[in-house]
Amino acid sequence: MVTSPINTSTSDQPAANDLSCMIALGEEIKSVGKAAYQINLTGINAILLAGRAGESARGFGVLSGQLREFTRGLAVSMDRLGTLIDGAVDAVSDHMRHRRLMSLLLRTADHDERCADLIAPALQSGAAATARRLDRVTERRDALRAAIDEARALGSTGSMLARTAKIEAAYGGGFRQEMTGVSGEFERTVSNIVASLGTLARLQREGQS
Amino acid sequence: MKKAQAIYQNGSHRWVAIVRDPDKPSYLIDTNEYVVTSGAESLLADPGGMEIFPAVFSAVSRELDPRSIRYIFASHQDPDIISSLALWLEFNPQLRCYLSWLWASFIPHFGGNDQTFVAIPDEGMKIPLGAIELVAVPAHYLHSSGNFHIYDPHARVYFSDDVGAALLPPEDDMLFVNDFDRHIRFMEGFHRRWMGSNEAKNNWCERVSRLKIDMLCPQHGAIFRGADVGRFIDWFAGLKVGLDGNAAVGKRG
Repeated sequence: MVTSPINTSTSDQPAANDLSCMIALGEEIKSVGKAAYQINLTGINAILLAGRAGESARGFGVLSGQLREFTRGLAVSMDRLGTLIDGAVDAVSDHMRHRRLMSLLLRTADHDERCADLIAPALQSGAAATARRLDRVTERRDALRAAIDEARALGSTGSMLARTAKIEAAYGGGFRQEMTGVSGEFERTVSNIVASLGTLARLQREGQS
Repeated sequence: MKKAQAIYQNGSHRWVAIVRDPDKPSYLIDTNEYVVTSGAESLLADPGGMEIFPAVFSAVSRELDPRSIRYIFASHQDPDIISSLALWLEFNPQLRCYLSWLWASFIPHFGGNDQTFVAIPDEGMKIPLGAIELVAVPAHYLHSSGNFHIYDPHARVYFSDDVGAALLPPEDDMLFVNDFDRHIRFMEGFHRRWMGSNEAKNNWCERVSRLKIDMLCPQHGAIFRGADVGRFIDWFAGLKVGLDGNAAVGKRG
């Protein structure tokens, strides 16, 4: 019989959970993308509205532009997250495949002493390869976590901009009511984005546990 | 546990059949693997699926040193033929795998790299092994569109992959066919459905009937020997296969 640090189970539940988590992260990123697109459109209307309102709505116009800038930053951030998720899926899948191979090699080694001796070198190099693969998975997870943290920081900036736009809407003169409506839309959409970014962080933590 | 049984031996030149595994889950089709050895070199023909690697490896190692296996031969691309490739390569990364050029970019999905594969051209080729030469015999469309058998003219053993295959019930797990007429019932449906072309079949029968063959060794079921080899070729020549033998199946869908 051979003892090895490699899990002999044929199912790889943690890795499967990791993959499910990646799928959920991908879906959440799509939600953020849609919300960002919505803010971008609303931002165009808000800038036009501020232009019509004149000097008193200048601050509102500037903030609307900054919110559109925020969505561009968010889009870049989500693209980066998507790439990192692809990398993580690649690392996790590779790890799963390798573990499956190791599990079959262990079953082979368990047949008898002769098989154990013959398979031992493959198991030894396999164990080293497992360690390398685990390092790669950890590396990808860490990069993903850091990118989600950055995206959340960006989300906080978006919240702050949306809140300030709401204040600025109060100085909209004759356009106050429309500007308040638009700023409310900004606030709701940014709030959805912040919630999605929180979900991303939670999913990422759960996938790791 | 699979059984390993020498079916030919002349000095260091040997054929070992790896057959029957009573412990194999019933949802996996039973397969035969063959190891040809000459001197210090061995070739493993159709190493089998990933799931049965432990049983095949163990059976092989009881009969010979698996480190002598330098070559793998994949008759075609099916999972029960070659999906264990990645595991054999874990054991020996230097293994070379002979296969039809047609599958040379498909089978690497099971494992291997650009150093692993030796592509066999459609017309076949000689495969040097120790002191002998094996012949990769074309059997395209029987059943795969890129399909090869192995002929060993020294041992007069012919590895026929799915040609001659039989789906045997558990109580009929003999190594050799001992009642040809009764054996037909276990192979007729398989050949009708799996062999795609009457033209290819007739061409194969005509070519192979000219070879001197003492044993015809399929990848499933029992081995034909002696007069049963000729009986099989004649029976196969008269069988309608592909759409001609399965008109009802061809009209479904």
